[in-house]
Amino acid sequence: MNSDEVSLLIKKLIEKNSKFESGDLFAVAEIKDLYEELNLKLSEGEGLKNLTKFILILYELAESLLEPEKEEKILELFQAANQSIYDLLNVPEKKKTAIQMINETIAEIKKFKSEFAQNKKNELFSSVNLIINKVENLENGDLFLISEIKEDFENLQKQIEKNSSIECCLQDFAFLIEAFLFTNENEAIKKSALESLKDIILFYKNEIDINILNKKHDQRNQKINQIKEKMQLNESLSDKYSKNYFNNIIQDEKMLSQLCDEINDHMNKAQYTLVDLEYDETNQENINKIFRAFHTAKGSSAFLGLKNIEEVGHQMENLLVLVRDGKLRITSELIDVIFIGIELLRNLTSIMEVNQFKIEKMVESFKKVDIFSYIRLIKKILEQYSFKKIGQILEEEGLLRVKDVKHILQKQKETSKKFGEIAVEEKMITPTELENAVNKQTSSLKKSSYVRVSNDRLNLLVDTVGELVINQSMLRQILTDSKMDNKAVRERVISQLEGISTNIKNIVLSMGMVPIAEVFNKLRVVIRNTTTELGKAVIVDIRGEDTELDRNVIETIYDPLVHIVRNAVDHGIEFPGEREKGKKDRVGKIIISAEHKGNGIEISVWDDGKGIKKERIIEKALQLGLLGEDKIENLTEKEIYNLMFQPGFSTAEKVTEVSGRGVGLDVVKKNIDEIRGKIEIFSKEKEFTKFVIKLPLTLAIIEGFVTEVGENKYIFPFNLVDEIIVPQEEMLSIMDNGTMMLFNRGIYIPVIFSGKIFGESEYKKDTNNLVAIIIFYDNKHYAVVVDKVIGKQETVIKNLSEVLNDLAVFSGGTIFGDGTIGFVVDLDGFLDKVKDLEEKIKKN
Amino acid sequence: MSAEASSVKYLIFSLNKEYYGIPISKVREVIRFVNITPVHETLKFIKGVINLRGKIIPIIDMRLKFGLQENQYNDRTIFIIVDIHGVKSVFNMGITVESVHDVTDINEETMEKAPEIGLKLKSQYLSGIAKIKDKMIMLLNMDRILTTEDVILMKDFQKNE
Repeated sequence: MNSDEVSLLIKKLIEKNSKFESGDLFAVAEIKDLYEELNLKLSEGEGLKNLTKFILILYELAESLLEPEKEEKILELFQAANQSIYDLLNVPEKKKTAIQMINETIAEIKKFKSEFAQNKKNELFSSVNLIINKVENLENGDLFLISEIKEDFENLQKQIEKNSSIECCLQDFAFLIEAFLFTNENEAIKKSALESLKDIILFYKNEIDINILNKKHDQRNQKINQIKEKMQLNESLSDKYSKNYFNNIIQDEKMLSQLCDEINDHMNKAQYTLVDLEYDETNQENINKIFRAFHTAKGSSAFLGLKNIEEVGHQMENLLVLVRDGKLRITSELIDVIFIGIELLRNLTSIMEVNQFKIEKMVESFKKVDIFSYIRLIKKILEQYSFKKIGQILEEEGLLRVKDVKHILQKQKETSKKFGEIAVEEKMITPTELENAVNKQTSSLKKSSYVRVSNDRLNLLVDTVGELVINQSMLRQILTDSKMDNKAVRERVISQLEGISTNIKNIVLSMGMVPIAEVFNKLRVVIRNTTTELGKAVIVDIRGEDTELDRNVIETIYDPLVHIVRNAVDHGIEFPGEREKGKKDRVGKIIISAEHKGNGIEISVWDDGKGIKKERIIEKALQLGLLGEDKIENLTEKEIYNLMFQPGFSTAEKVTEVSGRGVGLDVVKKNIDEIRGKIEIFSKEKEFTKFVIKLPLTLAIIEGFVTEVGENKYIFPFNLVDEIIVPQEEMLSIMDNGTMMLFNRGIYIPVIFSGKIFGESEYKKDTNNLVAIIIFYDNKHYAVVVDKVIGKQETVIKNLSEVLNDLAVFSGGTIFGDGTIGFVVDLDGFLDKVKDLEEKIKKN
Repeated sequence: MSAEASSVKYLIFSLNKEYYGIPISKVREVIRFVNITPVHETLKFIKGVINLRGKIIPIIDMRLKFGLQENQYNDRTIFIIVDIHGVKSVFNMGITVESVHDVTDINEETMEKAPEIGLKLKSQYLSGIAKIKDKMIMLLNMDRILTTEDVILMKDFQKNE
């Protein structure tokens, strides 16, 4: 033995040890090499057996250096060990203490190891307990819990892999949980698997007496074998690739390889689309895309005889049909299931590639891939959403035998009778049994609680209900006028009718309402895409997504909103660097909100970007000839912003329809005009821009407050009317600018003579005995003077014809019980008109 | 004159002793005078709206539209309800006339193009002129009569007033 070499090695070791960095694979390997070498050198000498044993322990320990939680402690141990070995060999006077040190270190290593194993085990216990918990709560067919359990299991497996001492049970674990995942049709297997799982946990917990342990181990093995047998029995019944399963594969390498490429391509597309779907689950186009992907995969693989791919594709297609038809909602769990399917298909194609499309080899590998468990999984989901055939139900109930079912089916082909009818005729079942079965069949249908109704029919229904309401008010009129003696009966009849029709009305109107969340979610995606495209960062805040809108409006509002939102990201929000300079948060903010306001709905898009430069707009409008030089001075802020809605004002960059920005702000305005909405811009340079879209009443029937002014009847939305007063003369005062104010309940309220606004020539102007309705709108009070108050009434809003669409004061007309026509006031339009008139007066 | 394929049925009505025709396919119905609910603050020739079996229909006074003196309506005033192809949709509109005469086949061959000048009516309202016996009939293009441009023009005019 060369003591110089040995001490050199130990010195090297000490050096390596002190310089060790976490996770350094090479350092670990070197340390191991050094120990090995040391061991070799020492074993040449005599009487050092104990020392070589110690070094072996160290060698093994080095392996664990890569585990971060152990690293520190091990390094410490190494340091002590190396020092004592060095002392033992080179410093004779320290020999004794060194031996002592070595013994201590060995003890410490042992302790450390067992402690760590204990920790690991505890962790393991809790994981297993978690799984057990979940398993106990598992209901039949709860697919998502199953996939959760599977995930837990995968984690567990990782933990076990690290811990070699319980490796022996790894396979059992895998098997038992697998048994859970895919055999839930068999309660017995499930139960025994559950018990075995519990046993295993107990086994670890009582890891004291090795004998008991072994006994238990044997017991467990026995049980597991039992389950295995049962499972195999189960499997051989339905699953397993049958003998000729792969017999039809066409031997054409070129075509097979093309198919592989095609499927991989489709799977990639499907995967991307799925990610999009996660953000926007209602995108029909995307659902169709994925559907098509699987459909093609299925079709082409069937053509080449690849039955396994075909079957997987087929099941996934079935699953997506449910999604497409709106019976199943896309959730992240469902997306996971589809992802698993995509992986499975990819797996199969890669098998083909690896085996270079040689059929024998392919088939051999194919047979090792279990597609059936996945197919079962999907079937399980499908079962919940489709209804069973009558025969299947009867068979399950034990009322019919398989033979009988076949017999009846045969008969059914000959006659046009229903399955149940034949069964009863043949006296195989009683009519009551049939009835029960039919009930069962329909009860499993309950899950799909949506009915698709065409737009036209729904609109027709709304119209018809409108007619009903009108007719009802006619009836009331007639009954009131008639000289029927029994007033009480009359009242009761009419109020019952009114109750019923109000109910119908509410149901019908709510049928057409859709929450705006659908649109907002799409906008979120638009913002995300645009920001990544442009390299900006934006947080989106969405408010009031529960607000319900008429579905016709929802359809129209989407495009304008996309445009506005894109504008906000593109032109509004600055680049992060720019924002930092402007002392703003690097991340921009966009708030999209919807709320009920007055008798309409307000949707706004707000961004904290650079705002709009008024000068630039004027400049541009001048350039484009949209504005005369002389008019510049009198422009109000609103008028300046409104210039942006002029046709041709859109910015220089002409973008095509393809890129999705086919609309300029003029088109936005046109779209919003179409649904009788209004759009307004608010902005402050360097601070914010806000687009506000006000949509009028979308409800076709409102609670109206009927008044008479001049020669016509006008209807105000009832929910805006605060009170009706006949003001005393001392309550009225005239301001310096000529406007009249009403002092009511401690506040001054501007008085509006509605006759003037409606253009009536003869209305009550006398300040004595005025009738004023106090309207509270947009946080302000207005006293609207009318000639006469008639009362509250259900009002069906009818479209005034296109010819009269420019009458912004009205949201429509209505027909009363006596056949006369009234006009429904749109408060926004009404107040705009008031302002216009005031300005005119000022100018004169 | 045989009923050839190229002949179209027209409804003939009179206004201020002149004859006009509308293709019958455009005519929804012809009704007697009913009460008009006036609409203020809109185009001058829009007299108001009527309730036609639960539908609100605007009424246009053709005399005013053609720049004639306004006549008081009486029980003999007639409303012709026509289909108009508007910018956004097809809608109904009523026009007031003094009397309805006849439904006649007008052969395309006997139709003449409306002259650019010499008529009271702007030629853009007309799809042609036909002669039946000794009467001259101006064939109206109903969709044109209320084209948006025209409406906007009139509106601006009104606002400037």
